[in-house]
Amino acid sequence: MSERAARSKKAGAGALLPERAVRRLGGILAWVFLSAAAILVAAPFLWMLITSFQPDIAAVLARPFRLPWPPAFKNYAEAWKSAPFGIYTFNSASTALAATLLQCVNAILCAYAFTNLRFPGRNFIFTLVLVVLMIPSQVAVVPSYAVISKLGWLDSYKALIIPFAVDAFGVFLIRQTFLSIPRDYVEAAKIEGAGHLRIAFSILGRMAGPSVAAFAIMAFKWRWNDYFWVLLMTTSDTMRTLPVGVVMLKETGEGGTRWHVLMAAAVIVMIPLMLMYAFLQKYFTDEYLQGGLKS
Amino acid sequence: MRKAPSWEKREALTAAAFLAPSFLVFALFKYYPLLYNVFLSLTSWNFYSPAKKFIGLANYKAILVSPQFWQVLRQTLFFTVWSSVISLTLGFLLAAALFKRRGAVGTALKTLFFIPNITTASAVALLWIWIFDPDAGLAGQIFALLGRESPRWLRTPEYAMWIVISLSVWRSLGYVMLIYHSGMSGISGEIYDAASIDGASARQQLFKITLPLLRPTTFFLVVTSFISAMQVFDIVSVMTGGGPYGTTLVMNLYIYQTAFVKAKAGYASALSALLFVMVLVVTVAQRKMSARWAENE
Repeated sequence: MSERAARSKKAGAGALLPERAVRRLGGILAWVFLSAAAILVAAPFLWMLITSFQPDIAAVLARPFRLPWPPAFKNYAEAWKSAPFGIYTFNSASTALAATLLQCVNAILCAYAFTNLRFPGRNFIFTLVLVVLMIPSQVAVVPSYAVISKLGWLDSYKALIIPFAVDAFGVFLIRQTFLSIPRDYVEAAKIEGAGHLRIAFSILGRMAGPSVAAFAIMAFKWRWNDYFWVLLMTTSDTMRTLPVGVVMLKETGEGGTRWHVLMAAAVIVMIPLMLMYAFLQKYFTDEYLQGGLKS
Repeated sequence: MRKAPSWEKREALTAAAFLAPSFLVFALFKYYPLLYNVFLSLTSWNFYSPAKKFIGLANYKAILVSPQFWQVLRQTLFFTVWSSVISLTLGFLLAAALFKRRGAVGTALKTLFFIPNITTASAVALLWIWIFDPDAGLAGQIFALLGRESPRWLRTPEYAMWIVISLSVWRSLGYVMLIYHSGMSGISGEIYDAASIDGASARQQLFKITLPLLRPTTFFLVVTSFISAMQVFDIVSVMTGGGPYGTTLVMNLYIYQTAFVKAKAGYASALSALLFVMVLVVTVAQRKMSARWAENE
């Protein structure tokens, strides 16, 4: 073997071997990191579930790690009864659904006007929508409260639905989607004599279905999880939603918090979105990808 | 007989009808509150009196010399910077570690990491209080197993803010991971093949190719994360209420307490206006930078 060949072989091996070792080490490190992250992310959920199935507060304090068997489903019934959770759930579901529906309808109407109708000042008016996008959601609390108060809407469903009847991001997103749909479909519908409303909803709205669905999920999640606005605008128990109600449940606990019941209540608050995520995962992630790409 | 309106007019009327409901809502709950807020910030209104006495810039002057305002601002920025930095770093590492693992385990992990993002903030804030309960909480139990006494987490000024940050990171991690993951999918595999042929190591590829190419993604995440962190309310309000000794008091909670507990509506409006300007600066910076990147491409 010539000296040169040997050297080149050695150099090759020198570059190759550590590289393979480094790669294997990297792979092991990645798995260690992923496992640690998985444990840290999952642990709070497991802790919440285990606590929620403990038979009583003594068991919670005495053997917190042991999986309680049989699981005490009664905590869920108790949480449901100890506060008007039925009312909270109804309020959460009805206000979130109503706001989501209105946001979708208004987004489609506005998007249609901005893409398929000609009227003076169209670009300027669209800029006004973009201005709303720049306004942080929680910023003007005092005047918002004053407006709701002046309208006589404090402590009513109107206060929880109407201000969220339209969302600037939704208008923006659906407009983008409508722009990407070929004009031919609209022209064909017009020739067949379809009116604006029919074109907006049954032609364009249907073709933009996935975008609308992803946006609806985002809107529903936002309204379902909202705490700040509901806390601000409602005072009576019968108007509260789950996120506010569950916190009140802790504060009304006498003689120390009954963690097993409270954790059952927390699970109840989060179950609906978890189920939605399980079945509609595609749209949950779509929403984010669009949001990310839009920037 | 009146002339039938031209099609142009009819189209404009249709547009008006389609836009009117939305713009009524925007006007009442977006534009008007913003303008009204500017006016209120120049008054000494206390929520109850019908009179709103105009006092010029007095509220702003009082805010700028108030030590509490600067403390709250410092704490808000502390929360904003650290929760953003940690969740971006961990989210990026998760995306990088999961990127080439597309099997069932990889998919399951991706789903797991994303779930905290759809949890209800106020409910998981209660869960966090329970985890960090010094006597029976998870953290307390772990200390007990190690034979040590648990610190009183949320009652200790040095720890409380970090516990709030930990919840924020836990909730936003999966979102960051997802955005980075989709950003990585957009980078052509050929670049990496070429780099491998040239002998670039995995680490070099990560720092010299992946990170620079993902700069717009990183910038987008920094901005969105800053904007939402600067307005954090739910988790702090439920977990600490701003305590202990005001060490976790952040801007939105401070505004809320000033307005609705102390009834200083004018002063709170001035605080809101300042927070608005801070968020706006970040937003405008984002628009400017994204526009510049779009030009360069």
